[in-house]
Formats: sequence, C-alpha cells, structure tokens
Amino acid sequence: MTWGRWMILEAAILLAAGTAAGFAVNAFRESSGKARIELDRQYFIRPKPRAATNDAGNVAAAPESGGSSGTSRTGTETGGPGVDSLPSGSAVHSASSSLASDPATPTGVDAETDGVHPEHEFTAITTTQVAAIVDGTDPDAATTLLIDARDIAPYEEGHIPGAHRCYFSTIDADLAAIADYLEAGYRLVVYCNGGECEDSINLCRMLRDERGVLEENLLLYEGGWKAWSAGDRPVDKGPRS
Amino acid sequence: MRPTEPEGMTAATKATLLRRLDATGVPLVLARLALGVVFIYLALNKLSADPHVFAKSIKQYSVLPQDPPQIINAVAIVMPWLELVCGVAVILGVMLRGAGLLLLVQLVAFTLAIYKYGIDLFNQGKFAAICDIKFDCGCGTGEQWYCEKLLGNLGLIAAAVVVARSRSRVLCLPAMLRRRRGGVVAAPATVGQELG
Repeated sequence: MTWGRWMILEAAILLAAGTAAGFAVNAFRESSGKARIELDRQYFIRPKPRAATNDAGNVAAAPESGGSSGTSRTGTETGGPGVDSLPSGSAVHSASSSLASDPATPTGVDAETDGVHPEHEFTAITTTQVAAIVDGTDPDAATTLLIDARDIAPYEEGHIPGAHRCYFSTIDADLAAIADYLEAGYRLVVYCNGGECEDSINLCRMLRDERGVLEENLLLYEGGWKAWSAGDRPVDKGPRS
Repeated sequence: MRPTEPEGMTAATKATLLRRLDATGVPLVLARLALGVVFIYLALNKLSADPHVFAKSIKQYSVLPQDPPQIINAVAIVMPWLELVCGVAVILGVMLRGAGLLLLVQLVAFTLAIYKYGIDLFNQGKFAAICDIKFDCGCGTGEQWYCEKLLGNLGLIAAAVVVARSRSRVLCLPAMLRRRRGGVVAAPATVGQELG
C-alpha cells in the first residue's frame, strides 16, 4: 500500500475511534448527572422571517414564513398553552402592557448601556423599566417574571433580585422550575450579560418556538447584567432560595 | 579554472538535506511533542466543560450551517475526542500519518474560521487595529489575542505537516516494541518513494 493510502486508512481509523468515543461518552453523560447534547435538538434558534411592509403600506408575509408573522402568533398556533387552558385567576398578558404603552417609558435600546446588541425581534426594555418591576412600582410587576439566561457561575455571583436562572444547556430542568408561571401566562423579562450576548435572545426564541410563549409576553432586557450591575441597584447572590 | 558554482541549491539538494534532517528524527519528535501537548490540553479543557458551551462556540463562527442541528451538535460531541485521540496518537507515535493528516485538516479549518471571525469583527469598526482583537475562540484556552492565535496555529500547521510526512520513527511506540522483540524496524514506505 502506498504512503498516501496508509495515511487515509490511519486517519479513518482515528476518526472512527474519536467518533465512537464522543458518542459513547455523550450517551453516558446524562446517567452521570452531566449535561448531554441531544443530537437532534436545535439549541440555537434563528429568528423567524418577519412580515415586510410594502410601499403601499400592506403587510406582506415573507416567503418562508408560511403566512404567519411572529407578532401574530398565539399559544394555540404553536401547540403551546392557549388562553383557554390557563388556570382561573391567572394573569394573562395579551400585549407587553404597561411598559410598551407608557409613553414615559419608551422601549428600544437602553440609553444607559453601550455596545452593539445583536438584532432581535422582541420588545426591548430599559434598566429603569426593569428597576420598576423589581421594586414593584410597575403595575404588572406581580405578574412579571425575571429570567437570567446566563450560566450557573455568573448567576450565583450576582443576579437581579427575584430572577430565575434558565441556561440553554439545562433548559428542560430550568423551565420545569417555572412551568407554573409559563402556564399562567406571566410576562417574561429575559436578560443575559448584555452587549453582544445572545443567550437571552436565544432563550426568548426557545420559549416562543418550543414552549408556545406568546411573543408579546417576552421582553428583552438588552442592557442585561452589565447595565444592571453598573449602577447602585439591588443584587441577589448565590442560588435562588 | 574552477567550474561555475550554482547560485542556489538545486531542488534535489534541498530534498536530500530535508531527508537527512528528517532522518535524525529531531523535527518529528519536536513536532509530535508540540502537537500532542497542545491538543491533549485543549481536548481535556473542552471535555471537562459543558459541551453545549463548545457547541455555542462553534456556532459563533457561522461556518457550519445551523440547519440541520445535527451538524453542529455532532461536531461538538466528536471534536474534543478526536483531538484527544490524535494528541495521544502523536505522543505515542502511533498512526502518525493519519493523526498528522487529521490534525492538519482540523488546524486549517480552525485557522480559517478564526481568521474570518477576526476580519468580521474588525470590519464592524470596533477595533483600531486587527491585532487589538482579543476574544475567546472556544478552543479551550480562554481569551486570546487574535494575531497571536493565528501565528500559533500556523506553527501547529507546520508541525502537523512534519508529522504527516516524516519517515522517521524515532521514539515511536510501535518501532520501540518491535526493536525490543528483536525484529527489524521496517521503513513505513518503499525506499526511494516520493513522500506524499
């Protein structure tokens, strides 16, 4: 056999060994209590194509959208919990309610933060608005849940008071802990590090696409932990009690 | 009158010199050490961390398609183990040609991806000079300077070429075992056959 053929044969053997070891250990990870990669799972959700407005002012669905724009989706459409399935007495937000409708608290890029934020399709809220939720002065604070999309180490070093942790690699267990809030239609404020961090956007998309959370109930705190911790604001440390 | 000396070495002379240098085994041993230590270290760092974070690092380069998800997920599952297997192989001197080829392919792919990512960051206008870029490449070494990372990778690519093409088998486990058994160490390919 020639040098080149030996080379390819050896490479194939090593590749097979690495592949077998990788998949075998990955299969074992869950039984040893570590996070396992599910081969078929989409961990990084891309934005849904948005409806575009043409020159005449009509809304035209993007070709790939299948006729439904992101903002018009409901829980029923996505197979998630519809309004009818909510427990009695639960608070359902059909829009981003007080924050989006209050002219004094405009949505959009937080003026207190710097950095370029990745593009996303969700309603953005500012540090001032998040502070109002935390101190309870926001009228919808009681039915709003803060979600920290960072990993466990940075979360335990410090997070916004009351925030639940929900990291993409442990999302099933983390979401199980807040399943009641999701079913009750709570408004969710999601944040991560801020700046270029995409974990909060990815989590919002996962919640919308896989859990049927209404897009209008998902608010993105773009400034994230960087903006929150930059000021003299309350901080919780350690695991959530 | 003396005949005119050639201005430079001929290709044949260069090839002979390279073969003699290779026959000493020094280039191969150095290349194996460098590649083996680096790849085993990087693989262990990745394997001890959350594999999803490595998948996220792969995704950030936008080199592999996100759909179907099996592509990025499979690469995240297999790559650290492939690095470990190849790292151990080059340290032991087992299947050097194949390990060298696999490491070369991985290094070229990583380097191109890092190069593209750095150029994209620079084009966003966030950095005054391209070598000011410092980022976590997801390689298992934390944050690194962009230019240093590229230079380091070029060095490793050169080492991988040496490992893949060298005919020396100095300090290689199979050759040592054969010698211990009193056998003759066979050349890995026909004498006189061109490399590659």
